[in-house]
Amino acid sequence: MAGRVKIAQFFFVALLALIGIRAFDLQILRPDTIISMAHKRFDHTIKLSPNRGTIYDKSGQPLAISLEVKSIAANPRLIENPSWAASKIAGKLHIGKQPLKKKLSSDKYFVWIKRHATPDEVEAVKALNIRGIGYYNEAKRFYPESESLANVLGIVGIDGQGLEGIELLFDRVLKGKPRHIEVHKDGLGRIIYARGLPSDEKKDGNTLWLTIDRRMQYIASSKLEKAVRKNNASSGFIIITNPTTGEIYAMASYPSFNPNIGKYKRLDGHKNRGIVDIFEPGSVIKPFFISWGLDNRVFKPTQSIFCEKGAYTYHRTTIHDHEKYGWLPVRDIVKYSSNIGMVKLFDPVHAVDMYSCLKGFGMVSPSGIDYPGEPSALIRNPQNWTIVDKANVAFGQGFAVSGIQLITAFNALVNGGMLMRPYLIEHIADTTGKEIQCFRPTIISKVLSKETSDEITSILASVCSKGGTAEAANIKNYRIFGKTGTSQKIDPLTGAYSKKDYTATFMGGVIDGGGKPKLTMIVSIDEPRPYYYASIVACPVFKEIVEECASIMDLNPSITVARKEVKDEGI
Amino acid sequence: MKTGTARAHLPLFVTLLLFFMVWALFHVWSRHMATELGYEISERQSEKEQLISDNKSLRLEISTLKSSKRLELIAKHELGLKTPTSEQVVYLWLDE
Repeated sequence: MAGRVKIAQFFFVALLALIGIRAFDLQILRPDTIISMAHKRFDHTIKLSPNRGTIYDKSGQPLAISLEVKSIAANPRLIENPSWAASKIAGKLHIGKQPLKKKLSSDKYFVWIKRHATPDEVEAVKALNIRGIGYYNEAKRFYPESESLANVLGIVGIDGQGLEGIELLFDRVLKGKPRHIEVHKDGLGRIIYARGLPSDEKKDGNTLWLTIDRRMQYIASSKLEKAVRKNNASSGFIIITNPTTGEIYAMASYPSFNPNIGKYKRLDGHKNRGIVDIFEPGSVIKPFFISWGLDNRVFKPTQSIFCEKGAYTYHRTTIHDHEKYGWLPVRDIVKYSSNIGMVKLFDPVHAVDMYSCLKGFGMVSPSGIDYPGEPSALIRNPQNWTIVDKANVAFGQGFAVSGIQLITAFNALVNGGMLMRPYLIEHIADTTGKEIQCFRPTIISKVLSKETSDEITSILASVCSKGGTAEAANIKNYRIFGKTGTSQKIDPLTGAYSKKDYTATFMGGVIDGGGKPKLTMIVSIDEPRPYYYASIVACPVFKEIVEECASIMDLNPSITVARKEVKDEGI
Repeated sequence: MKTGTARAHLPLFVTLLLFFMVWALFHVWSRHMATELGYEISERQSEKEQLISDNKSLRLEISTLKSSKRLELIAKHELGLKTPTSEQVVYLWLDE
């Protein structure tokens, strides 16, 4: 009996000794091995994709926002009957059965079935209860203003990378950095946050605040669409700016596209025409040369030019006006848009000086707007201009500029002579709303004196008065100024100016009750038919937009101010 | 003598044993609590993420509902409103 007890005692002591030796081995001699094994089993590093930053308009309304949606994927090796599964899933997702069957029959471990599926589609596929189908959270970009602002904002790809427009240029700002966090998992794979999320790792994308006002943007884009359709035109664009600061309130292009669909169905709809298209400006260029001439005292506003009753042969080339004008003072050359008057007025001016005028107004180099893909102007070296080339340049032919260059230069004409850099981004903020970068108005150069700017603004106001070429842009109770331009397009087949394709452009603005220009706009309609004059095609669009934007911008009507002053004086 | 000494040390031994047992139980309990709290934090974290996501969805919905296109359609087609022309707008001065 005692022997048996002794054997049992010895057995237990030996067992305890073995456990002790093993514990000593694991805990003292090789602690790293066991710790790393435990870490491998329970500790995991998971990658969290950052949320792409939201883009807001100037009033804080979201223009582009990312939300998490489900994407459906499969492990084809786990699919038991690919043909049956493809048939069922394709029916629920409205996608092709054969391509899906091919995917599900492959020997891969992972294939996408549908990315960014709708909640209804996910529920429908889940209800099929097919083994090997998985669901993953992914971010999808939504654009509440859809077509209205698509050409400005651009789009992102399926993996959330910026492909066009502001989404592309500010991709690094918006996309943020992926977060890597260490988590502790239990035996069932449930996450225990053993380690917290360090605050410096919260790297969601920053938010962008634009200078765009989405209400004005909608008005501009809807009026533009209406005008292009009504005039059977091929395309068009509108840019609305603050002439004093260079802020862009609206920038519409037509045709456009729906960025929520996100497929390249019609490539020309993706262009931001106001920035990337260049065209011959036509008569809208005249006030720039006139202001340069006045500023440099090349001529006086009172000087008169004989406009040859509508036709003038200049170095064996006949130049026409649209009406038969006789003697016109300088301001009426702009008011009635006389080509002959411009040619004769600038006959003594050197080509180099005319080129430096355009260069001074920023029409030779890109405007520097915060938007990708801006081209330089298309303008030849003035040393190579013939005498006829110089005459053509005087009324806006023989060179090409972009809409943003024109409106930027136009702002300098009317704001006291300051060439302001146009900008679309007001500020960048982090996820907590703290401003991290602010974009202020930037003066590029001073191109005109205040006196000349006031003089040319007054001349431009006469263009919109009775008898001027932009009379159709005039609005009751507001002081309007502007200039029309109807330019012939080059026929790509013949290389000569087309007799049926024109670009109708109007650049104008509003002077509010305080006497300062508060809004400027360029409206350009490409290839309108059958009527192509800017006064018929573009001016009414300007008028409609200003009428609707007046309340948004709180524009004080000038006439009412005048009445009020009269009344006050009477008292 | 030896038995007497062992008996004299028994209370100390039992006390130490109890202390170590309580300490061991406390250790296990604290680890258990830490794990439970970890689960709770994880759950709250998921809830927070979900609420942020819901908030974003709602903001998107508000923005879509307030989109100028939709408001114009409702104003024009459901309410029969139209944009006033400049001739129809009357400006009033508050100080008069």
